[in-house]
Amino acid sequence: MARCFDIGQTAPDFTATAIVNGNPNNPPEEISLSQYRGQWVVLFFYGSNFTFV
Amino acid sequence: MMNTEVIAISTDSIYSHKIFMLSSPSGRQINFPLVSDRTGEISRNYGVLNENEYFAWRGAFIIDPEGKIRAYLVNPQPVGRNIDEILRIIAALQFVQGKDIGAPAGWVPGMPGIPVGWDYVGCY
Repeated sequence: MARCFDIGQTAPDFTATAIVNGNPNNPPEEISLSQYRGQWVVLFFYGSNFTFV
Repeated sequence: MMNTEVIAISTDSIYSHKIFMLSSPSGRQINFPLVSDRTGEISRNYGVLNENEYFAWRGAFIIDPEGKIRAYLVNPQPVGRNIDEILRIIAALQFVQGKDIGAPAGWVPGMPGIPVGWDYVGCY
């Protein structure tokens, strides 16, 4: 699987729909990774809601 | 504290995310952005898309304030992440920033760093 980056390179930007602020009753918003410039970010991927580990 | 934003992302639909946050014990604790990568494009760009089953592997990426990837760790499916290690790496990166020191194996906040550079070649 090819990653298009290496350590020290710019993280691939994205714009996607998200539930922000931990409130699922608010409509989702579009967020971009680049809007978090100026902060450290931990971007973590996981497989599927409602599963186990 | 460490000026760090956490963002979670999976290939689940945004609708699934809503119900997950309303109904699941772990989902109810989420107070950071939860992104839907429905097309798998983001997961693919980060090299964590399982193309056969279309879900993302358990990858965590540490990105600095300039948008650079500083570290990443991909866990096996049955093994959850160690959040302490992720935070430790960020603390270490912040600790050594702008200084000629390194954070040796086992470094945790509060420990000194080790001096690096030509004068220290062969000292460790």
